[in-house]
This record gives sequence, C-alpha cells and structure tokens, in this order.
Amino acid sequence: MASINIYDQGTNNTYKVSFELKSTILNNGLSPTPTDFYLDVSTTMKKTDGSSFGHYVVQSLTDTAPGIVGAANDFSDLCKQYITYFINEAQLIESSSSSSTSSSSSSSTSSSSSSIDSSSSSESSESVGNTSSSSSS
Amino acid sequence: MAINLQIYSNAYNTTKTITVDFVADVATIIDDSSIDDTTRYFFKLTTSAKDTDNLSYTTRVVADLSDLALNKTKQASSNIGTPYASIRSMILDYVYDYINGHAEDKFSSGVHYKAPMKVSS
Repeated sequence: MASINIYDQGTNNTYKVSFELKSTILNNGLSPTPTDFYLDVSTTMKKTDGSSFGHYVVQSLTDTAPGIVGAANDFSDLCKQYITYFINEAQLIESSSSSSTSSSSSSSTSSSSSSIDSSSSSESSESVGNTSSSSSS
Repeated sequence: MAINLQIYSNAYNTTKTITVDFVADVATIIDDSSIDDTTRYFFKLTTSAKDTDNLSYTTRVVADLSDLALNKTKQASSNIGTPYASIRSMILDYVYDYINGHAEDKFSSGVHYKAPMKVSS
C-alpha cells in the first residue's frame, strides 16, 4: 500500500492519503463482476464542513479525481491528482487556486523503506503550499 | 496491504505465490549509477518461485497501463500492443506470463526467453 504523509505546518497536523491495492468481488451498482483488482483511495483529511471524504475506487487510469477531465498519464500522475484534490477540498492551503503540489519550495523528502523482495507498504511525504514536508520511513 | 495471488498446481499439489503491491518511492536508484528523486507510484510484482530452468524472477515494475508484460511492448496472452484496459487486465496478463513463460521475441516484442513457472516442487 502506498501511504503519503501531508504535513500542514500551520496547524501542525499530519494527514494521510492512502492508495491500497485490493482484490474483492466488486459490485459497484453495475453487473457483478468476477474478482477485481483495484486501488482504494482514501484520506484522513476532512472537508471544510468536518465530514470525511469517501473512498474512491480506481480500476483504470480513467478513474481520476473529481473535476479532472481525461485519463491520467500514468499512476504517478493519477495519485498526484488525488492528493491535490483532497488538499484543495480540505482547504489546507491559503490560496483558493488548484495549483499542483510542486508549486512552492519544499525541503527535501525522505527515502522509502520498501525493499524489493518484501511486500511491505511504503510511505513518503509531500509538501503543499504553506505546509512543509516531514521525514518519515 | 499487498495482494498474495496463489497459483495452485492440481497435478503436483503445490502452491506458488505472486505478490502484487502498489507502492510509492521517493527516490529510485537507476542502474546503480544515478538517483532519481522524483516521487513515483507504481505496481510491484514479486515472487520467490522459480522457473523450470531453476532461475528466479526479477522484480517487475508497472508504472503505467502501457507497461505491457512482454518487454513493455506486447501483452503476454495475446498479440496486442495497446495498453491494458484496467488494473485487473494488467495483473492477470502478468500472472499469465509468470505461469506460462514466453518464447524468445514472442509476438515480435523483443523479449528474451523465459521458462514457465516450476510447479513440480
């Protein structure tokens, strides 16, 4: 599972955005399918009214974040779109623009702790707007 | 959490496991000579199984649905060069390649020969 830390320096809060690979029988209102593989996207960030974001199901590169038109270029592009969407909807940055996560200067990020032959999850950090990155492993 | 796909051989009553995970890495060491510090998100497929030549499998990385199983250029189960339609299609095709192996330059993909997965022990 890919788990990203978002550190908000202004409030000293750290939020997570998780991209978890799942294998289940997925019935999303359409005809039931055989066992499906998909990414379950979720976050600990809250919306401005205090409610939680729902879980988002990604079955292909066309399952992009709300408001994104067209397919993502690759999985890195798709994940960054979701991170940006959550941050903007939670209004963690002062600006109301929907600029990308790399628009401001940031301190260096930490290295991943995943190893090749294990199936452990990996974590990394991103900085956005007036927030700063935090090291994690 | 990673997914462990079980490959069961009825003939030999053995089970092999292919592990699939979605990971994020902040830095990537390329060819032991350079570091790419761009954060990347990708699928990683690993297995401790061996092929019938008793050789191990290298880790397989899928960053995009256009990273096809045969040398990134062709799908393993059919002579198709277009991207996978879904994550499910991608995983099933890679698992097909693990189990069946492939001939040298199968489907004119430029891929090197790989023996089928060994299930006899």
